[in-house]
Amino acid sequence: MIEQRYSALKNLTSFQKRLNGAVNSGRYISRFVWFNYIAGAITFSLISAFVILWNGLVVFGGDYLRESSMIFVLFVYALMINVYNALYFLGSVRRGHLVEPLAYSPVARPESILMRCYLKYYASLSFFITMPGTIFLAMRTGSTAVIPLALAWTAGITLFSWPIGVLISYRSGRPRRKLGFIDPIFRIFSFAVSLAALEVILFLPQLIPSLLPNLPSPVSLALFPINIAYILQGAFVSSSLPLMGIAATSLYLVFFIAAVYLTLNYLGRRIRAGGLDQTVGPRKGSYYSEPIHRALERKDRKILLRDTQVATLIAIPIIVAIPTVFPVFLPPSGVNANPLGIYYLLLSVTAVCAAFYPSILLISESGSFSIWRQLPVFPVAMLRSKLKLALKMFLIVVIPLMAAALLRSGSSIPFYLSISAGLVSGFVFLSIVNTRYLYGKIPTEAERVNLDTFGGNLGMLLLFSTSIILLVIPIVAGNFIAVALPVSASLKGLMNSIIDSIINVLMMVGAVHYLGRLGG
Amino acid sequence: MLMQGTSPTVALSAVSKSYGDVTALNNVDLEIFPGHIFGVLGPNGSGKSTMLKLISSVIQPDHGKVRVLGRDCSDEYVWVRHHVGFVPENSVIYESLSATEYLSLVSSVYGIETRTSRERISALSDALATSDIMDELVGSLSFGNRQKISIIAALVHDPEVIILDEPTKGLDPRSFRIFKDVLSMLAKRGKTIVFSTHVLEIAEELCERLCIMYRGEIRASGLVSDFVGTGKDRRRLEETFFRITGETSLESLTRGVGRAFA
Repeated sequence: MIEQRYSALKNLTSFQKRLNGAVNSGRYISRFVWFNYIAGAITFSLISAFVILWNGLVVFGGDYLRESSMIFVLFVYALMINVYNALYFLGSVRRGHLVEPLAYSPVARPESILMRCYLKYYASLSFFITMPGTIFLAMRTGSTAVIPLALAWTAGITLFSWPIGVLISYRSGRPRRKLGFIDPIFRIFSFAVSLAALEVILFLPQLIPSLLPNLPSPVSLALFPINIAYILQGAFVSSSLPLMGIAATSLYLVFFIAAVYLTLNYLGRRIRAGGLDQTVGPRKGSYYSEPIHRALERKDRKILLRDTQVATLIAIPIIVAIPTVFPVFLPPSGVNANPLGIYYLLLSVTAVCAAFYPSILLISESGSFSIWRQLPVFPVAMLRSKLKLALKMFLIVVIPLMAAALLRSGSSIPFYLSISAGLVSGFVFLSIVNTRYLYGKIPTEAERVNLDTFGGNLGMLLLFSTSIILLVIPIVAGNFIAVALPVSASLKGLMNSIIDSIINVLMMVGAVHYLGRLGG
Repeated sequence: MLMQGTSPTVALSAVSKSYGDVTALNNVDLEIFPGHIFGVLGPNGSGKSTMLKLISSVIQPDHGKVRVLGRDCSDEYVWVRHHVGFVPENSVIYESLSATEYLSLVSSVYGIETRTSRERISALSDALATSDIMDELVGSLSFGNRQKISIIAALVHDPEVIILDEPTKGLDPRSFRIFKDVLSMLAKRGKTIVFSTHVLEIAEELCERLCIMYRGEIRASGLVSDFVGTGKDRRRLEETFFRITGETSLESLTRGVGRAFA
């Protein structure tokens, strides 16, 4: 993390100036890293508290079964975040060639240093996801046994994310054989099954814990991560279950430690064999020359698909948006979700995508950013191609969500058409503003661009907050105008969304015009 | 050093550039003419790379004017970049693209027709022996091969001015020889070539004119013969270089290292 921050700053005048004047230059860099860590911890704690308090108390009215199922969701979320963090961390190590100095140094096991860094700066954050909710549950039920169990499971999940990350990162980099006819079908099928599993977890979290007591004990205890909820729920249902839970947890911890040990050995062999550089096979192709906008977009698309770290970052909006899905799709009663809730969910996804996708596409330039100062391209041409790709990525994320929302809420087609126009124009407006802002933050001397160029997690959090505010302004304005209009109460919601969409479209036109004035 | 009757391809007038408190270039004047191979020499940190980046319009000066082919590098940077080929000191190429994909991107940005770019890239990759690695991802290439791809990218649009920052680093003897011959051929065709190097023999062999930089200033500039002399008075360029850069007591430094490790 420190190395990432250093890479982003090292060539900058302001940084050199501070380093020359600083009493302890190392502390100057590490302070920033800890700021980011604290920001991450606060965000995760808030998510955890929101999920438990909102869903457990407000939505579910204090139902123990559903409350414990929310804990289960938090653990799944922690595992997802950890796998994402592992992929991001290992991607940074590979891209920055960070393991090379360790390989040359008289260090016995450089792979252990890597893992310790990951656990310290990244994975340990998962405790802030699981523990606030668990402590709250323990306080409400009076069962303190859940706390050590949850700690053990969080540690287990944290450890388990490392082997998963290593396997995905480095095995995906092996030379690939030619794909056969069946491979794409198998991949699409696997992807669909994974999505379906995620849908079940999100939409019906109470289903799994309620089914578990009916399963034979050995089966239910052997199901990971399903038995987390079983243990937590069981701790206050029957006095004998915590003991079984402890036994199962210990067994799993042994398994996780063994997996970590094996992957550490694998990494060690890779480092000693010449480093962690990916050895992706050749990409057959012939020379072509095409219009500049198409060439730029093709380049961005290829980098996104081939670079593990960048590809991992694309998942951020989906991961961040998941907690907001619960209150919307899990209403306390009735079949239909609240249309307004769905609207706010889609807005939050729009804000996250508009904050992250421009930054991801700029980060994808990485150490090659200075190429743009050599080639005869106006910056606006580069930004425009990135914005087009960002819009395509946004549509891929938001269209299935909108379709699900439409089926779920049963609202009218005109309502959805108007919010669709509002969301897309809102995204275009926000992504232009954010891209321009982020591009302005890249110092003129910068040779490398990474997340730390934009202030790290803290900077992303601020960008996301600003995006939310900018998205909310037209909604508030639309509300005021709709209230003032002499229409029936049932039409006010529709009018509100139409007015909001009109304002967003106007802001989008303004932003596009502004981008055009940048030259090129 | 003005040449009568010809306009300079590259002209720097009173150019200064600082990075924070560090002055990289201080009030530099320089003119380079078409058909010349111009060498820029100097110790590390003397301002060579900064000057080459200014000429390539990669960075802008704090004071003064940099003109290439009569155009201002700050105001018309896109036009200038269209007519300049630049090989930076450290090749920065997208690691996730293959060499073919990267060169196709460069060709597209310069607006070169597919057929023309294919012919030029094939000829250059045959000459520099990179034909076998064109489908490999740049991230898996050796330093030398990346440098070759960078050289091809700088030449593919047939620029009027070619700027090379330590271009021979990592080149094998065969590629180095071809590279020198190609540069000589391009200079004969009227191209202006400016390159920096730490290898004084290369500068002596290849250049007609050169300058020696020290602490952000051009301390000496002229024909190579001005630096090395002719006939009986001929001396090594190294001697002149050390005299101009004030490095006259190198033996005592070596003795100091010897004492420290005794």
